Amino acid sequence: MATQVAVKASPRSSEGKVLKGRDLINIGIFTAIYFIIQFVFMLCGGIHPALWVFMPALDALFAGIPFMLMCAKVQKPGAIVIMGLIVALIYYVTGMFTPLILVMMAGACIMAEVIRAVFRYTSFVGNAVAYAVFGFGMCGSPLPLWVFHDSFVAQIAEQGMGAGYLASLNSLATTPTLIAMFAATFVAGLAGVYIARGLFKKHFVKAGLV
Amino acid sequence: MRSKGASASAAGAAEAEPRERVLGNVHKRGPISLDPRTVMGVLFAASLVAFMPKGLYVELALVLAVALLQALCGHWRMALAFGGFYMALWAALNVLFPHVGGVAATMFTIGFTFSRKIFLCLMAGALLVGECSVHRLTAALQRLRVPQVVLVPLTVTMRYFPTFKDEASHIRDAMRLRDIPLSERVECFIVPLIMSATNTADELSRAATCRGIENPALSTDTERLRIQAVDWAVLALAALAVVAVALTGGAL
Amino acid sequence: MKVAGGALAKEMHEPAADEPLVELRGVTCRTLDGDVILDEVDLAVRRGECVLLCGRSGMGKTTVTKCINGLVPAFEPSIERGGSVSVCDFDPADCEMYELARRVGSVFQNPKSQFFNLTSSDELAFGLEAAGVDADTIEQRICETVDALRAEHLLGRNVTKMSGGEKQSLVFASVDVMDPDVYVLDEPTANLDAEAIRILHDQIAAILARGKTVIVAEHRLYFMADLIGRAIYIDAGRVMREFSPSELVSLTDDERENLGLRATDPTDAMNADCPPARTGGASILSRGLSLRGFTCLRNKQQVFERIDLDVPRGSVMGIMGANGVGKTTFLRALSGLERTTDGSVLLDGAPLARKARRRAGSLVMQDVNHQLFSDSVRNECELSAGSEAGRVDEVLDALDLSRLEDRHPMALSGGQKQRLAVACALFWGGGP
Repeated sequence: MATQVAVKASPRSSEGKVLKGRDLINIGIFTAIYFIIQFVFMLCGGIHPALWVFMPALDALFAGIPFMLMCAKVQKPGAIVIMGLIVALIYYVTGMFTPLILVMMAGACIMAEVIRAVFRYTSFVGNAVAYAVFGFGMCGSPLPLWVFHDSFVAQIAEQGMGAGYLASLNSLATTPTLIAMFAATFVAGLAGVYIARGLFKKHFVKAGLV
Repeated sequence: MRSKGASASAAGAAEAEPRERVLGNVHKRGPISLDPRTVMGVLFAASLVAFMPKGLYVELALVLAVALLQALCGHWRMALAFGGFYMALWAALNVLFPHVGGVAATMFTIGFTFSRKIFLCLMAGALLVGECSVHRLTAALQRLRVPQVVLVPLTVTMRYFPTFKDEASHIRDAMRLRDIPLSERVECFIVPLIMSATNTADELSRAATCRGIENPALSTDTERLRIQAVDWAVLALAALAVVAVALTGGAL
Repeated sequence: MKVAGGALAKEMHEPAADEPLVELRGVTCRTLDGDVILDEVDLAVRRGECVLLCGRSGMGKTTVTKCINGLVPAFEPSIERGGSVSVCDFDPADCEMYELARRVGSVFQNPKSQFFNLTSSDELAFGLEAAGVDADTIEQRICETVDALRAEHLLGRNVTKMSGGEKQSLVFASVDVMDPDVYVLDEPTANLDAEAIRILHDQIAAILARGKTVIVAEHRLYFMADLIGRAIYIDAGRVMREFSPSELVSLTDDERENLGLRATDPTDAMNADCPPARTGGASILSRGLSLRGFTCLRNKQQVFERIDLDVPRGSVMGIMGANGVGKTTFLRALSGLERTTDGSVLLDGAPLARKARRRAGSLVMQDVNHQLFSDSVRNECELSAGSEAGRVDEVLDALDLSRLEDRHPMALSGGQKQRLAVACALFWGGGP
């Protein structure tokens, strides 16, 4: 029949590697969920310095679901950078963070983007490693403990805390704990992906979500 | 366009229109009102100062200065609250924790010290959030050359927070009505939440695409942002403060 | 009018008045699996016409709207479209969505997921803002729209604090600000109450008076009956019949039932014949639910007047009332979801405290998506069944869900989800 000239979905809208309106909206919504999970643990971080140091690891453990969903929905370059930038921007604009977090976020996001690109965006392993690396971004939050260590100690001493407390603070902000923080974050990230994968298999794939 | 539209050209618009301006209409609360970019500048200055060494007097002067700025913008209560908050913080860190001690001291000293360090950032951030809507903020960021690919998702993120709150409370209610084993609670909470987020993403994409969100044209700045003399003055003072703190190096 | 960029096309070529503005010729849509959704659909809509697309759900009326507003194929990569579609001289499958956006405005079902900004005035500006139209022109268009739709109350509001009806009004007005030629409405009343539907009706009347073209897919026939030029009945992906408004209104109940259409007249829905509920007598029911002086308090204010009521076991009671009088709050309070209530609730003569009411009752919510948690229909029931696991098959059968028992609840259709929520409700507190 003459009318059977099929018009397929033309490449303009969904294919290609350029982020379109729909991709940006997906990124926005999953970033909101990521941010909320992350914010809950940030508040917990205020309770105890040790919790603060390992807050990025806790984030990584529980925030894998929105991240992996975003990766499944948006298989294009730039998604992770935008997610990280928005999180950092919200924290920065509300005055809750130092410029350090912007730097860490940017670094972690670019690394994660490179990993995703190498694995061509659809690979589970690629997205999993990208997520584990992405977690380093939040390490920018407790990082002032090391970077501005002297300033911290000086002020706490001036405020009159005893030598015992300062000693315990010094023992917290050492190079081994710094390494432990990054390592824990990475491992927790992989575990977080594993949790997300369980839910994907049980629910999201079956429900036709991804 | 109809007759009323014709008269609404350029300068005459304000008199011809009985309605107050619809777009970019900021209710001036106090004696001055600042462009969001100016407040962002103050925030940037505050973050520079945060980890510079500074004496108590300098710190006090800076807190007072930003509180004054908040008050001038009409946020009197915000200024008072931050003033009180600062005094409480100082008292806890200098009197309560060192001399009374206890578990609270070991737990909160770091957190409170950090809060004191970034206190000016918190103040400037609160002013920024209090002064402008998300739309105004993104308009300012657009003027600062932040691209649309960041601003569109940022708007969506901010828009989704209230929706998230709504959805979460409905799901909590539904869970209360059923005896869900403790081990399954987290899963039962997350699954409907993610489902609804995905649906919203899809429906919002459709609506936004049908209204032309993919247009490559530069979006209009309907907030009509303008940097005025008072903005320059505040920015200059902020810069001056940064230089002064850097030079005195905590001597005062 | 000063317009930038994308609007230039507008001045290119205006079709003559009698030429159809929207034309579908031999349009066929099939999924990649080969299922036919639309089968040789022909439709021509002239400028200024108002056309209603009606028919059972899932039979293709929404797909017709998607072919017009470009969502097929832009958002449905798995649907293959054949035939030709022309909308204001564009082929929606072969132009950018933002070009089409200036000529075709779309309103969808769910008012909660169509707004983009948190402030209503910015939402009104959204479409023209994205097109880069200058701020004064946008301002002027907003004022014209607000005047024409009598929607002054929509200005300067926080969108999250608006009711569903107001949100839908805002969506409609935001589309109107862009001044499109064709308005495509896909079940716009699905989530609205009677008052909001009336407002939408008046808004559509206002744009029709300006000579705009309107295409509505709806199964509520009454709400548009006086505005439409004709109604097109779509079944199994084909255009089966065309009705004039008078033919539509004069369909008998049986004919309407056969076609799967809903009442045309709002008063029909109120014709159900039932006795008024028993307001509380002197004695408490020994078999049933009794309320005495029951109310819900928020900020120390009563949300609704104190209620005395007796509902015997085995009976059904309906609650009616205008939007916002507290029907939902009453049900929530009764189910034990509201923190502070006053008065007493007694079941079979025994008073029930708040926590006990949560266990004794069950609630099917307006949006059932919030209350489905499991990974299959059967598991969902078993989660509720507890000790009554033996009755799962029987209940699934009764609600026609047995053949779906392995499906994920979220993969069901709206009606199936609702039946599943009812099935779960049946297990609670000893069942029916």
